[in-house]
Amino acid sequence: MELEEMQIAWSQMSSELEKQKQLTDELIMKMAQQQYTSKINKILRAERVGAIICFATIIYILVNFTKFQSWQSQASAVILVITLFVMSVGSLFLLKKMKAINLQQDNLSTTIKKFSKYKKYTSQFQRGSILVGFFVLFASSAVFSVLFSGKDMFLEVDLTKMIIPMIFGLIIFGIIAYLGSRFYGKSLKEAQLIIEDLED
Amino acid sequence: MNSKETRFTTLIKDNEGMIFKISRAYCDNTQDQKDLYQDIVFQLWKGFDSFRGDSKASTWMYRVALNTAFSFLRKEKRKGHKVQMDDLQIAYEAHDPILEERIKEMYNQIRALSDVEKGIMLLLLEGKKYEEIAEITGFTRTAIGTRISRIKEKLKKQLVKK
Repeated sequence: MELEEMQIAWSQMSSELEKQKQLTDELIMKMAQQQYTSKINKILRAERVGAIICFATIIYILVNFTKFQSWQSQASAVILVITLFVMSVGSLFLLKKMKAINLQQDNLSTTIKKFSKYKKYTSQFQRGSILVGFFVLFASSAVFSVLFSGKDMFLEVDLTKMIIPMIFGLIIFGIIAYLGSRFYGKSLKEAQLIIEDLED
Repeated sequence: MNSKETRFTTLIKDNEGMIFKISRAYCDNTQDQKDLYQDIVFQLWKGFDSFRGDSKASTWMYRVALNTAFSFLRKEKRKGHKVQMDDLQIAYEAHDPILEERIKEMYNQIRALSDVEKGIMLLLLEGKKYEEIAEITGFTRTAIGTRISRIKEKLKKQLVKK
């Protein structure tokens, strides 16, 4: 269908729609308010909860820092605290970016740009988190071993017995990291293309 | 019903066709169309207080509706959601089967466009002038002209493919 034909069909459809008005006052207000109670902040809730959990864990580790006996477990705790802090702050930063999208006031171009930038940052952040997670895997095992079973892996556990499970864990994590990284790499590329297209 | 609600419901009733047309252009199944329709009404209600009439009501409504459609598509891709509203019947059928067939074909062509092009195309079909499209979408008048030329090219290519 060419544009001119589409314009004719569109105008015929518009006239028919004018005759088929279906909404009532009650239904309109129900739509406006039902959505408000059920949907608002639903998307953002998970990210907020994630940030709260990270902060709570940081506090817990710091309060119990004296339990870490060896310098290796102390270093693991420090690495984990820094990682969790960066992840929480990053998550809150993304939340702020998301909230900066004002659907009622921005125009389409601005909305798309903001969405694409949010997507870009999210993809970069998640890609980075996967890679960091890979390195923090060992540190977190050492920290939680101290916190939850009172055993300092570096002093009390025979690390040679842990080699096979750890290699296995690293392989699984490596596969997840590779797939995740590819997925977020693709998202990042898509977001970048949209931004470039808008800036044409 | 207080006066704010009365003004709002009047505005929505006057423009329900426009909301339907946008929902149908961005979503291909009825449930998603209903969800998007609700989302647009919700966003309009949310922004109703901040709408001070600096621009025309229709300009503001198109802006909110297109933004919501774009944001809806992004959220839909990430997760399913929505309140069930069985009493919301927005399905539209043209009385003339030939017209209905042409409308379906037209929507299929619109859905094949990119998200930005869909918005521009809808406004063009609504009879908006380049200046108005530019005001609603935030692109320059020149950019609108360029994008409309691209849309025409795409439509021609779609015809050739058939």
